[in-house]
Amino acid sequence: MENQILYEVENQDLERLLEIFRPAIKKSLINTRMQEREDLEQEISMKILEKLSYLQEIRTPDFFEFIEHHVD
Amino acid sequence: MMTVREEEFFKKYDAMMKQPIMKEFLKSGDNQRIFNKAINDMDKESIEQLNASFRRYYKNIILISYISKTIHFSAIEFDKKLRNYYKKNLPIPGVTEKSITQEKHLLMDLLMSTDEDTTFINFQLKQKNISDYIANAHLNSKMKLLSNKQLRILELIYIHNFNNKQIAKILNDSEQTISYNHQAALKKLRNACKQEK
Repeated sequence: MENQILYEVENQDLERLLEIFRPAIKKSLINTRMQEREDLEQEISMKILEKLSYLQEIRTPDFFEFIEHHVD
Repeated sequence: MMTVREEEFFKKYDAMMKQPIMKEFLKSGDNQRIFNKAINDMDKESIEQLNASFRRYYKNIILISYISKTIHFSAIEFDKKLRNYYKKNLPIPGVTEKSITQEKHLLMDLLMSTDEDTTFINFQLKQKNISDYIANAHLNSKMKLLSNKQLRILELIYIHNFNNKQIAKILNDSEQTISYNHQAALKKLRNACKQEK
């Protein structure tokens, strides 16, 4: 599906987002000891949830803005 | 075949069109079509459409990068916080550092002991098998490939947080053997999982 992450962020679908990023999250867990990994996973989910509305508000340039802005 | 307008456009914005993000954006057939239509017709509607699809495409990429970074840095931050916490809060008031090491020694002595006293048997009964900690059913089924010794080593490392030196003492073996068995066990599991794929 095209622009899937954007789609999930717009729908505020945390579950789906976490599912998509699951491999990346699992990989980041090796930073910490075995006993704390579950807590870390929770913490990461929380962080993403906190950022969701901010992520929705991010404004990106459109095609001509992008192309004109970068031409000098 | 490029039309004159497309050629002009590519000439004017040469550097921009060579950017990876542009190339990736135009790889999608839909985007390519929208792009061509907008450049050739230059009517308001198709330009708007091009602008909108690019905006969405770009935002999607920004979101991926943002979320990946969030994951990466909160993991690092979490570990840092935890380390600081342990450094500051252990020893807890009233408990000296010495008594903590003593406690660990006690556990070690218990694990090393050959005496069959009832406390030890109860203690052993309470010990969970390492397989109980593995949530992944796929990996769990592979655990039976390992020898008892390897299972015991994994358990001592990952559940009890002992280091090689301490485990060598507990199992009455050399540090090298412990390290070797640990690595061998991980390798075996890794290979078994790979083969299945």
